[in-house]
Amino acid sequence: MDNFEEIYRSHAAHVFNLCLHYLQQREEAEEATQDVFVKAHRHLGEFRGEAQVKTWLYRIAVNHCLDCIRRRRTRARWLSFIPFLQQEPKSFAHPAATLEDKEAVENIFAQIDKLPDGQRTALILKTLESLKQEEIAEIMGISVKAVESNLSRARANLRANIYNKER
Amino acid sequence: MNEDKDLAILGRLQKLDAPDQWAEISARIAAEQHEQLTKSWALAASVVAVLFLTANIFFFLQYSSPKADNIAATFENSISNQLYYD
Repeated sequence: MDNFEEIYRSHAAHVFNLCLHYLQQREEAEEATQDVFVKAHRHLGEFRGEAQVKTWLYRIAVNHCLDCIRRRRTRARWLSFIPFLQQEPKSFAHPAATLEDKEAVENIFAQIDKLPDGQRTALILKTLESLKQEEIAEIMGISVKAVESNLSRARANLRANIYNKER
Repeated sequence: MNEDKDLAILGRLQKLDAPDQWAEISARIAAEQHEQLTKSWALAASVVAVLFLTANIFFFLQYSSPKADNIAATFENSISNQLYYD
């Protein structure tokens, strides 16, 4: 348990910030960070040490956040059939966005949210986490070429979405 | 280019410190381990109970049911009694 506490202390900030980029709500990101470390502890025996601990934790975090987003969408879809249970969509609350950038950051995250999972993950890990393509490939379990392709498609889609929005 | 400008804004997002959640995480891990232990004990107890029941059924069938010659003797007795009364 002491070793795992060390792992937590060294990587909690990375995992928390990554969850924040996916979920964009502090409370949800905190909960997701907890879930990621509980899952990591549960599967500690399966960690073969071939990858770095950071890469392994990132992989768990990415999968967990994508699951959270899928669950959130499914819940919203079901609730849309029941008028009195409909919830107001949560307002954008990424705590790292400064006041003057908030609107622009909200817009770009809204566009990133529309991207397919692979493109979104590649873009977040590259642009926001500044990871190398080899690391991204390892986290996503795909080849470096596939990462490059995901990144270029993500940028093209983003450009098209932003252009369409501005027209 | 707008996209580059927007991505540059994302690059400016500062990294935040994670709140210290070690107490909650270690509590959840301990609860999970306890639950796992309880499940293992419950599984072991169920296996023992099933084995005990199976053994009971086996011994009951083996030693309490009448044997074939006993059945024949009983049948013969009942027939001869029947004939006697007739």
